[in-house]
Amino acid sequence: MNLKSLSFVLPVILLTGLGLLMLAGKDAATVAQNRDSDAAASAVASPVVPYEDSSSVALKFEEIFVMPAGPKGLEYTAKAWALAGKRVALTGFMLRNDNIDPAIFFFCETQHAYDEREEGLADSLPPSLVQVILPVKKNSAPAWRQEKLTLYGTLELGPRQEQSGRVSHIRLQCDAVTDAATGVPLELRKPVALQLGRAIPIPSDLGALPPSTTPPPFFNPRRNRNSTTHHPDKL
Amino acid sequence: MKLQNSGKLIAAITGLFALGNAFAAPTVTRLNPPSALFTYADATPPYISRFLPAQRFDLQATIQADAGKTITSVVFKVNGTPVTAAGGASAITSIGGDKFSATIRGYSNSTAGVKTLVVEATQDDSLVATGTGNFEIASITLNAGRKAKNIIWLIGDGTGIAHRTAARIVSKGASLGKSNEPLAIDTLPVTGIVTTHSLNSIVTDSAPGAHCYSTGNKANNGQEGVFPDDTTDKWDNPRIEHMGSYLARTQGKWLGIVSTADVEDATPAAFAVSTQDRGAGTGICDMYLDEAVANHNLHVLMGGGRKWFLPLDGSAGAGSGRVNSSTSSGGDYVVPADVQAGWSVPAGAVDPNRNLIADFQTAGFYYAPDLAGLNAMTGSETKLLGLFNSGHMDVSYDKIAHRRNAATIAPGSLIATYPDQPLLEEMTDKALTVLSKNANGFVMMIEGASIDKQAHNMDTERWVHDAIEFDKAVAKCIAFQAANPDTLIIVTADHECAGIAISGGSTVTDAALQSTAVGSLKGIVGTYDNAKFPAYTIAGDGYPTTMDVDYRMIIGYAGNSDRYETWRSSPSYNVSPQARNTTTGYLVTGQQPGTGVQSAVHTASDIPLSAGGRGAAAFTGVFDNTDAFFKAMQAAIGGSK
Repeated sequence: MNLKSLSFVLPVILLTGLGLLMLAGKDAATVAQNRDSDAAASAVASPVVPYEDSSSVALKFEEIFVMPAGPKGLEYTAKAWALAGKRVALTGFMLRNDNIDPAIFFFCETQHAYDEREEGLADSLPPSLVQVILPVKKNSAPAWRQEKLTLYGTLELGPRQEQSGRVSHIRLQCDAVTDAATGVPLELRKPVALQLGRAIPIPSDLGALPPSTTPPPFFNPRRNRNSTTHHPDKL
Repeated sequence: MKLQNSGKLIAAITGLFALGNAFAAPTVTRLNPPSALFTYADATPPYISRFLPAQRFDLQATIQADAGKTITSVVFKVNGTPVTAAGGASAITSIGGDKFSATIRGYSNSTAGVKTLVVEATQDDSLVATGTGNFEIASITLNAGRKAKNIIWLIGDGTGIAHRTAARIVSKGASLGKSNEPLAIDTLPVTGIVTTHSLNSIVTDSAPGAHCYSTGNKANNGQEGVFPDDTTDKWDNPRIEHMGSYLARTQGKWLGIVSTADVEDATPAAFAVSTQDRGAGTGICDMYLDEAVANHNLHVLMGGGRKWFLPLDGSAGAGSGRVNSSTSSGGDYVVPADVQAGWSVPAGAVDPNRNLIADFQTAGFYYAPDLAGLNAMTGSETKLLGLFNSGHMDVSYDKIAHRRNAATIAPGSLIATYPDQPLLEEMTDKALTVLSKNANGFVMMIEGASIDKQAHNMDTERWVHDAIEFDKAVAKCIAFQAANPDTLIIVTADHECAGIAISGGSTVTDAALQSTAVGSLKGIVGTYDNAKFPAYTIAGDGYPTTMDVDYRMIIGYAGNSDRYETWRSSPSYNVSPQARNTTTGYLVTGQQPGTGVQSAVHTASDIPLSAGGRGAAAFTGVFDNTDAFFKAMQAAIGGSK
């Protein structure tokens, strides 16, 4: 390839790459910020036809457990128990967190705050929290959206240990996600690599500090002086 | 190849092997208790690890052996004298990667002074690794005066100076340059400033932030009752004896733990539990009964977190079991044999179907599931378990609103599920009634947990309200101290949360604020002369009639994430600051990144401490959080004038 052709090809490659990056950046930013435009984009990509499922029974979060709770714990309502294994429709909000399972997200009645770093499993999340299981899509995971959603699928009740460390008691094997306001179907699963808002899960602290990258002579922070004998990986 | 040359080659290879052996050597990569002598080769004070005379703690070393080699023996020496472990209370454990963890459990030393700790680990080829550290046994002045029979730690989680100021402005008012009245906290005669760094960060979380008061030592973030080690096991870390255990063993005192948080949460657990994982869940709550009741004389445990105490097998709608609880297989605890032998504790078990409430009742505890249950106590109870919510208890803002009008249930709260949750002062009252039955006295930790949690959430009205609730619990303790003078009250925090600042006051009435366009909301912030004195009114129940007053107090957050600000109360509870008021508030951009940190964060700012009663005079000046432990123990063990 001579210099002339290179001068033509190179800008084309660069512009194409830039365009792809912009597209990826747009997608990532959309996922991260979950603006209404994202719903609109999805709506454009999909036929603007509200999802219909006459076989599903609407179930509210406050209908899952008997309220108030008894002294020994929560009990499923007769309605919830009768719907176990059957199709239901649930309306609520995605919980924003670092779920390590790419097929599952949490779903609850309000736009609940959940700071995993601070709270762990000692939290203020409602007992009616639903673990929603979506069919796995390669390299993708549910991306958080701010708007109210209606989910359709099969209700499962009873304890089950999840990858996250929780024991779930209410699960939805979900096969359709819609915008609650419009009924328009939505695709929640987005490539993990493009989800800028999806933080890397914090590794459990094994008690060891990472080895210091400070080169010798080691700086002794206690004395503001350099020390020739040091144990940079010790505590 | 000639024989002569081949001989040279063999010699060269042999020499290389010899050289390799000369350079290969096992090394000690960790020595517990932590010390600057080991980490920085610095033998000068301040000494990182300090203990009371006879306070128990574990000696632990991690040794990196040469590839394929084994560590066959480990000797710990204190001031040159080998330490002998009690039967079964030592172990050398392979932890992978040719690393070995050596422990001696339950060591103690009764002689005050700085001690040199040396570990010598011998590899199976006779090579020896050594490590040198130090620790201090604190000096307690005996017969220094009357002893503090009762010690009450009140921890306003996350409560810095500004949290107190805000609670005072709202609940007591200020005018013409002066506060109209002091908070109960303000009436305590002694004030100090406390530094809060943890073992591995300038910014602590709540686990080491409370662990320091219970053990006198530093811990890594996320860890409580232990020093860090190099294993993945949550339950095998080197332990430090808690204040509750020490005072139960030496003085027969009782322990009480009262919190508005889930009792599995870091602050309550840091006063009785030993684990490297503050989120260990079910195992933490099992440990309250198995270890703390037996060895710490735990007589009162109150808060949220009922989900950890229920059996998992909620079959056929008969009860959902541990709703949202930890793993059924990984959350329970099992401690290794050397811990069992050294600390006289049971092994624990993986028992997800354990009915822990029933087991507490079998151990003699009165169980209260709600305020009605607390009020039904006869007065003769000597052990009390109160579990008022599945997770953290709802905050006082919502509890009071519901009491005033039962139809008031904020979206996001669990009031509908748990409508009869007590206030912290009501829990405090019952705890004092139970614990004061012990002639030998008690030590109690009372936590106002959601001052921190709602500061994280930047929900101003809810954390201010909980700071007022906390002050009312302090008032209960001050009244108790007045009737029981040999009581020491310490009111402090574990850290500051959210970088709170009272930056001014609204320049408009609440009615005007409600009609202010989103784009103009920033303009209502009055600073300096324009801030004036907001007038909050207090209802008969002791709490503000409303938080939405004219010319209201304005709060700023320095350790913040993004939020939408309306300068009014949020009708919803626990809604993400990034999702709350998105159309009614204006965006205030924050500094914290990522979905894992969606809220304001802890800061490294010093925190205030107020003290009153027996031994309080020692709590002046600026001191480390671990110093507070030793000041309190001086009062309990040696007495105070």
